[in-house]
Amino acid sequence: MTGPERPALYLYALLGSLPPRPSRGLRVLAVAGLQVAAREVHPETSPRPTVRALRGHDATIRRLARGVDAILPFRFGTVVPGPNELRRRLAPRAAELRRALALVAGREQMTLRVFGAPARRRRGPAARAGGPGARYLAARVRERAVPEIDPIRPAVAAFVRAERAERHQSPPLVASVYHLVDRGRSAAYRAALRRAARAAGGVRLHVSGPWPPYAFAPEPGE
Amino acid sequence: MRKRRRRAPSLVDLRDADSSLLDLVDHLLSKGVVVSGDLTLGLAGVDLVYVHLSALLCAADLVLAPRGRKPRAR
Repeated sequence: MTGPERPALYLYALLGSLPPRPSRGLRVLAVAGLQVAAREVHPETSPRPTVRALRGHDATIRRLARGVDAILPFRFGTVVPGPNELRRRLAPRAAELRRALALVAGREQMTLRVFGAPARRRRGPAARAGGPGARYLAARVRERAVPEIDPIRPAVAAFVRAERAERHQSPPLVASVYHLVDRGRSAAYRAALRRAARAAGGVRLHVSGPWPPYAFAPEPGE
Repeated sequence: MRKRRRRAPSLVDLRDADSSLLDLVDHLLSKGVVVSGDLTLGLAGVDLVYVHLSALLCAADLVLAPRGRKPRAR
């Protein structure tokens, strides 16, 4: 005979502190010195990325964000079998996750999509010099560089606390750039961007936000 | 008389929920903390979402800024 199945945990976010009021149906677990907002779900839960589910997930993250200074969302659909397994997975990364939480504390994300013709990028001497490690790092920097928005950087520099970027191979979408700005400064960031966008030299920008800092989770192995 | 062609706007501000749905998809399915291992379950078809997401973003650029016209109000 088998006993009742133990619930699994659907993970929403790491929190920098305990939220003042626990949201309905959510638990906040202390795991490896981190606070994890999660919901108990059936162990065979299989979250499907429907528009409704994605919006619901985002709404929960935003509700949690309003109650804490720092939040790092988990990727949608993350289910772990229980607290012990969660601990086993998070403990080795606790230090880097705490650093990431410190970075996003009091901040939120603006998302820029960059459209247009890719800038011609030259491989500098650093790309050819050094050993394989140095060349790999130089290539990694090149992959994430977005020179197309250099003309607008001075205008938004005062607002940007950190940046993540990725280039795309699907023209006319050139790159996605994620800026971390202080909470409450997104309107001023937008206004500065609007003024500076005319100088972007043929590049078109789509801006959205503020978002919870989805793009500022540390990459595995970072 | 030569028709003057207006320049496409250099900045499109996606404030309404519909137009930033693609950003929502990108943020939730390809960003966020990943716990090691195969713990993301039940996301059949997500690879397809990734393949089409950049195409959809490009389409959004065309729809939202067709030759300098403002997007049509719905």
